[in-house]
Amino acid sequence: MNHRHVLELAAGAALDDLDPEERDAMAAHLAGCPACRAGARELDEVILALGMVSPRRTPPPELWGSIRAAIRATNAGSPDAGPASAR
Amino acid sequence: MPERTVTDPDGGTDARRDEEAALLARVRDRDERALEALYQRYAGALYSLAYQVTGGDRFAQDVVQEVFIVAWRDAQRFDPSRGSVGAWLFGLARHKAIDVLRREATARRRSAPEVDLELEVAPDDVDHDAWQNLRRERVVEALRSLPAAQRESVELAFFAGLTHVEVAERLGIPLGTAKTRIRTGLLRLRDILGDSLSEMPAGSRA
Ligand SMILES: [Zn+2]
Repeated sequence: MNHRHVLELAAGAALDDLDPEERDAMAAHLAGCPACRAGARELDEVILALGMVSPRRTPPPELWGSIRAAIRATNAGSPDAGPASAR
Repeated sequence: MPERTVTDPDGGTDARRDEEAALLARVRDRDERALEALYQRYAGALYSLAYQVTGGDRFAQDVVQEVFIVAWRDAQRFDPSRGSVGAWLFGLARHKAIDVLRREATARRRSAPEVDLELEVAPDDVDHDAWQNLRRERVVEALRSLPAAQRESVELAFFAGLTHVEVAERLGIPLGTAKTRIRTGLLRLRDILGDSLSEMPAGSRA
């Protein structure tokens, strides 16, 4: 597979738009091609950059507290974790 | 020779990626503070993206909450060889935002793509890092320089929260064409932004 095609797959992967065959083909090539690995990393940075572009808003300050409560509830409910109070 | 500290959020791309991967490893080990550190770093940007995609504060909060719950529960699903923590979080946010739009289909006012990337001066920008503003400007500029067909497809997929199938339907083009436009558009953004993606924070070195 040529490098350009692999980079196109990596762009697809960046938006989670690969079928399993494409994913396997890409992974196989990336494993042996540092240049395309670097390209895939840059595409990752493009996604990150796009994510930073939306007009900036600030989430309400209480949001973290509600997330923390939710993950503590998750801990309490999972089989390998003790009761929430023990954490 | 000036040394770049790893904890500097403006450190180079590699330092940032390594640091965030280390944070996520701690999250995997049930370190709440590590999750909070990732939250401090990304909640604002994730919330902003989710707000833009879903068009509402409550939806955006739901998205951010679900993203961090998944990060907590499924941190082991992150594969550092496949990408950065930040991009992973944005990928999760995009998925969750699309889920929210599905759930709230009746609330959708989606006759037109409401993709407005004007660099409006939001009140929240007061405490917003200057280099991030610079970065934003460059990315917006890069988006604008894409051929219209590519830009439209990328924006619908990323900022309007449409699946690739929906992008194709919206634009009345075959799915394969939509995929190609999106992939080619992202590759072109990479070419345009090039080194600036990693060079951007260099000015912060002591
Ligand atoms: Zn290659």
